[in-house]
Amino acid sequence: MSAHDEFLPLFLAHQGDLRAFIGALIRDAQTREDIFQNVALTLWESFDRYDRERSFGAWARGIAAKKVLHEHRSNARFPLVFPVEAIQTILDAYDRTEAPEAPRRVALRECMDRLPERTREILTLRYDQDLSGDIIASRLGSTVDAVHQTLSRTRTSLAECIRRRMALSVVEDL
Amino acid sequence: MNVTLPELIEKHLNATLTAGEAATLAQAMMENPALAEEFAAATRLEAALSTSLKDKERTALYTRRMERAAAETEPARTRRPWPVKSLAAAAGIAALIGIGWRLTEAEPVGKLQVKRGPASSTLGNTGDGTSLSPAGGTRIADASSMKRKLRRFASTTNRLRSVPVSQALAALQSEWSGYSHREAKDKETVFVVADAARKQWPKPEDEPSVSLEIPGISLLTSLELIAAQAGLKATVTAAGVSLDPETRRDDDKPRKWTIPLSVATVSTFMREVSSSSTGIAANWALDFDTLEFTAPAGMARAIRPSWMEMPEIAQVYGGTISPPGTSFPVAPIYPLSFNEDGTIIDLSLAPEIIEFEGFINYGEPIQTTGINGDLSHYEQPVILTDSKITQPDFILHSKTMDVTGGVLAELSRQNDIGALYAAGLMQNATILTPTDHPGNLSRLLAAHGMPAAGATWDQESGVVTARGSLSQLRAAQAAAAAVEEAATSGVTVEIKVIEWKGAIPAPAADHSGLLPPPVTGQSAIISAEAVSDLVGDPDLERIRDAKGKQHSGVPFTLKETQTYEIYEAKNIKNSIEAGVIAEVDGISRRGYSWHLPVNIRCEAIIGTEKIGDGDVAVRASREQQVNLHLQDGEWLRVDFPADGNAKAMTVLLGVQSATIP
Repeated sequence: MSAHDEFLPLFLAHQGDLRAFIGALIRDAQTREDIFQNVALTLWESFDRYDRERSFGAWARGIAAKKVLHEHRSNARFPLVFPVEAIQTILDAYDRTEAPEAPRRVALRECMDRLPERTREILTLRYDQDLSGDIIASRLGSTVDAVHQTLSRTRTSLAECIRRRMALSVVEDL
Repeated sequence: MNVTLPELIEKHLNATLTAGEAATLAQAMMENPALAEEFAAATRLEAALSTSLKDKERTALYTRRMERAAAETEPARTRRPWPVKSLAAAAGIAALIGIGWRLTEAEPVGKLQVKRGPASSTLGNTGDGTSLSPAGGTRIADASSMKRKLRRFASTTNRLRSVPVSQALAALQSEWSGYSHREAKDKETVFVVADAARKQWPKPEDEPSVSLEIPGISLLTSLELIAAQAGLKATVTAAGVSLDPETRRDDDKPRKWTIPLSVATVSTFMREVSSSSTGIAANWALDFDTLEFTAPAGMARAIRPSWMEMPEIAQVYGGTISPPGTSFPVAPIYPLSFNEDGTIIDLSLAPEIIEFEGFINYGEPIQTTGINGDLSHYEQPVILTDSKITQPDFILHSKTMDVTGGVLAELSRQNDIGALYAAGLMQNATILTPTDHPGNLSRLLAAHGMPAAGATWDQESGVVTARGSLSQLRAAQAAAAAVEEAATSGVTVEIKVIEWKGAIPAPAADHSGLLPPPVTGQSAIISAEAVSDLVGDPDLERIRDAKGKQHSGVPFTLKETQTYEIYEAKNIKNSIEAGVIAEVDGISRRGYSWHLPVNIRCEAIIGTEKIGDGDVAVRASREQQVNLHLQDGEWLRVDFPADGNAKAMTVLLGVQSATIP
């Protein structure tokens, strides 16, 4: 079996986390996608050098961090949110808190099922259609602040719900 | 105003963080690892939300539809009254805990208004200077609802080649408008190219051309696919869909993207499309014992996608009964010829199988008459030489059959050459399946806007590496998404077997909304067994005899459940005395087409017969194939008329849920 046979399952298992990490550094959707694609390509091309003893996710994020740094240095208008010194801090935080995506995803879906319809619609506009707060507000006939507050509250309650469900599943496993 | 650190994280997520605030947050995270971890968790949740919402929308489609169908099936008089007490209690609790919770009815979808003037919104225009926008009060929920409708509408428009984007849009519009929607307002949905997009091509000849040659995808995916090819994006609103300019225009900077496209996905897709592209909608009787290799009427000329390289029979080798090495290969047979107009012409395939039998000696011994002088003996011939003139002897076997690409595809799908042999038509044939031609994928991408030379697919790892401009890569990504959708979408078919007795009239034939409720004390369901035979699973063995077996990894369960709940079950259960109601969940990966051929076999207990000391049930069964239309989520009623001792039976079929493996 060639080394590349392993690539796709690993990549698919970690791509969500990789996207999250890149999204933490860059808010512009198209630039995020460009970086993600660049990183994916590099991962693919240099997979032979991947150390199986290490976490694939950590390896992928490390490459992503370098890509972001490289782009930032070569393009003065690169839309990096934070000062470059913060990249390592965020990278470390991601590495420390890495966990399998699947259980969290299941918990998230269960929690989302309990959201009111209108809240779900706002989430859909924000995260499915990638609309900004002001466009959502204009479509809803609401204010930007109200939309942002709803999103913030929803994220907080979802995070709490996921935490509870994850804790519950651990107890059940015991 | 002081902003707390968690608030800064929220501002980051809302994309409203200023440069100064970003520096503050960064500094705080560097000093406080716990805060950085909180930030990581928040951004992870954000990414998961995005993924989940997209996935959720896909997987919930059919479930919601069937729930709606079930709700509509419930007769008016049996509907439960408003749960006033429960609502009041819930509202009271909500008020107590201070939740701003209101019981409101969803506002109706606003009707379209036509207004004159420049179209500044993304709602698009009709091409004559008018723009469309929903009437005031239209809620954004309607846009999501519209998106769901478009995603669950299986499009049959998949044979467009290099047509102007507005023409492709019109074809999709026509398909949508021509459909008999349950909700009349759905007909008013409009698909338009936005003014801002039209301005990009001032002359008609500048309008970009697009293709739609991927069968088995939803209308939404079709719209996204043509939009990507035209360098546009499909914006869904409550009023319909407009193709708008991409927020970020193509900068002609060459890029290199990787697009995951697993070999299983491509393999499934290719096998499926190799059949459906020829117009044979997977409703072949796949039992090779009885299969007749004759192209059905009307299938002789079928359009194939321009990118498709049809499978071909490579070689036919003769004589399975001959020892290895004694067979003679016949020249390769190419059973299909492609016309320039992209049609497939049937050829009569006449495989000739030659077996080597041995040698025949055409020579004769040369002999003479010898005289040995002994008169007591007759003259004995003396062989001077054997004079052998040997020639090899071959036996020619030939069979004739009519072949279409669809037949070949079905054969290759089965990957069972033994079946051919069993059918007495061929021996030891090797059929190349479409997946043996990775060039198909390159051509598919090329047909949809991604230059073939720019994309290479590594089959082993399942990754497409594409190089090109931003717009080309977007097109490639849209095509890949369409391939994935076509290959992985499926449906679960729910079958309900119902028998009406007594004076209760059978339901009308259109849909279950007219089903009458069974009456208390009357048997609505006696006994039946339904067997779903979902024909045409491209990847795995066909599903048959669904007795709860596992078929080659295809999840297939037979649940002995009472499935008549939606017909007011509580008074009926007691009357069920014998037999089972079978609910069959079959997953057909080719189900996301406009219809799904389903074979239904009903078996009912029609009485008992005394054999020895015991009673033995007497059963009768009948079989029928129907096409289950998936577009509207309605139940399909199939009547089995009484036949001899067998009683009449009615079967209801419905799509229960979508499955994204």
